[in-house]
Amino acid sequence: MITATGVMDNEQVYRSYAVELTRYATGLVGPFDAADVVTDACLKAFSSRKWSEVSNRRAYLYRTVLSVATDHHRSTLSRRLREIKTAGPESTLPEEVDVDVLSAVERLSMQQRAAVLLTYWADLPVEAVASQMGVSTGAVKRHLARARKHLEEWLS
Amino acid sequence: MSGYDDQRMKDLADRLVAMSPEPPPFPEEVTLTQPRVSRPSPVLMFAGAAVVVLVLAAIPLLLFRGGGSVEPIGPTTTSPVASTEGSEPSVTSTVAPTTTVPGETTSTSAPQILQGVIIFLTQTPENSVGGNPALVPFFTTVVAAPGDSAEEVALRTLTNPSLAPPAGFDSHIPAGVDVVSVNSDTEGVRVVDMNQAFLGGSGSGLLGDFTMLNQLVYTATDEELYPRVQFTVGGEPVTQFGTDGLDISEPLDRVTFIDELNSVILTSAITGSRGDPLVLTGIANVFEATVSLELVDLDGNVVYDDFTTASCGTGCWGSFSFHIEDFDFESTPLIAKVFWHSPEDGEPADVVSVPVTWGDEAGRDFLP
Repeated sequence: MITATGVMDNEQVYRSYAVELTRYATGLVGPFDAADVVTDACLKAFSSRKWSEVSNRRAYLYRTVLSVATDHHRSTLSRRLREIKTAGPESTLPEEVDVDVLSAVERLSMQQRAAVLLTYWADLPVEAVASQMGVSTGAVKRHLARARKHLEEWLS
Repeated sequence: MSGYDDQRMKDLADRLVAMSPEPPPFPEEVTLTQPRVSRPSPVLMFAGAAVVVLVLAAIPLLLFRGGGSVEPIGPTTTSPVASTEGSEPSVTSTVAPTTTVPGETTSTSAPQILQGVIIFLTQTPENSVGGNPALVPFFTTVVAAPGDSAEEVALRTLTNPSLAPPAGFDSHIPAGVDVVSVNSDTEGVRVVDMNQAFLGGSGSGLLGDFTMLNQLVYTATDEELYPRVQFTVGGEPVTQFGTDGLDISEPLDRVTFIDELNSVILTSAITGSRGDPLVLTGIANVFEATVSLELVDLDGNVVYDDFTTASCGTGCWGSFSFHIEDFDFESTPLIAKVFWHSPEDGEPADVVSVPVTWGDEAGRDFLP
């Protein structure tokens, strides 16, 4: 059985990072599915046998969110955007939803999205981004370069 | 610098994150011993269905191994909490009333479960340009102990001397090589302790040694949480491996020996249910990053074709994926051929051929 202490530990961890994890997930899969991704990622992390041994739980949760978002498949955002466009201008979207930005980001791979977010939103240096994503610094630079190029093409 | 500059990238990231909804409530269901049942992914739904069939099929086996006693078939769990590693499907079906939430086992009266794992086999590609073998992932189900991790079960399956790859596929891991233990650290490294026979390599030369390592590395790692693996023997890092005494004392990843593989590598097993989209992912280093897919029926007729652009190409490795939503898969069995077109003669090159199987045709058991 999970002890009461264990439950509190997980809940405290969750309360500490839920907001930023949801923002990160929003950048990866869009605002419509971010909450589901965060919930699935936390369930996955908290249930891991390694969870009790993890020293940097924040980093572990970020990696798990990226893993779950990748499973989620980026086409889900594409489908959501198609639905929005099909519904037309009269559709009622929350005012904070920026369809233009989502349409551009939808064209990036999940790894490119993660590299962009960790670099430009989380302000991490390239080494930390590489560590967070579990790839080389060269791979991070390639993801960023390609993301910049794609965004230039699609947003300019 | 070409493309968006840093300030515009930052603005974009901020605008993106500004759309964030309120965080979801704390997922309290993790504190329960009941498996999650909400919104399983299609792959896991398929895997669950396949495992139910296999559990039923395995009853005679369990009867035999259990000395005549049969434990009641317990709940089948397809929740993501059953597996914590990577994006590859891994499903655990209990054959006793146990839970799959690690550390919360309520009963261990039955020592065996059926577990779905991904293992990487090899194939000699058609029209190979570089002469290197291809790696192909397969989803298979095996009998395992409840406490074994998915990656440990996968490695033990791959090194099992009774492994019988399907026609057209092979393994470069010789009989006698065995896994002693598998542990994972918090830095994304799996530490795999092997027996002494591992040091001898594949026994089929340097390319065979690289292929053997690539099979083990791809099976032991995933692309997200545990991208690296450290091989040890007797707890010590390996400094002399195989024919040429390769120093593999540092952790290896999927890129370390990637240039010893075919230019097209599949990284996801083709699994799913009829009616689901066909999803096929991989990495490639091909001309102009253009990767082609053909679905071919048993008469050799191409019934579907598509192409996609990998994230990098012509000298660098990039990831690619095919996601086919609207194809009528009732015409299976099919072979998926993944390749690139040679700029010299336009012919398909480095062709990897994988059978497309669905439902109870998939999750094949490679062990007798």
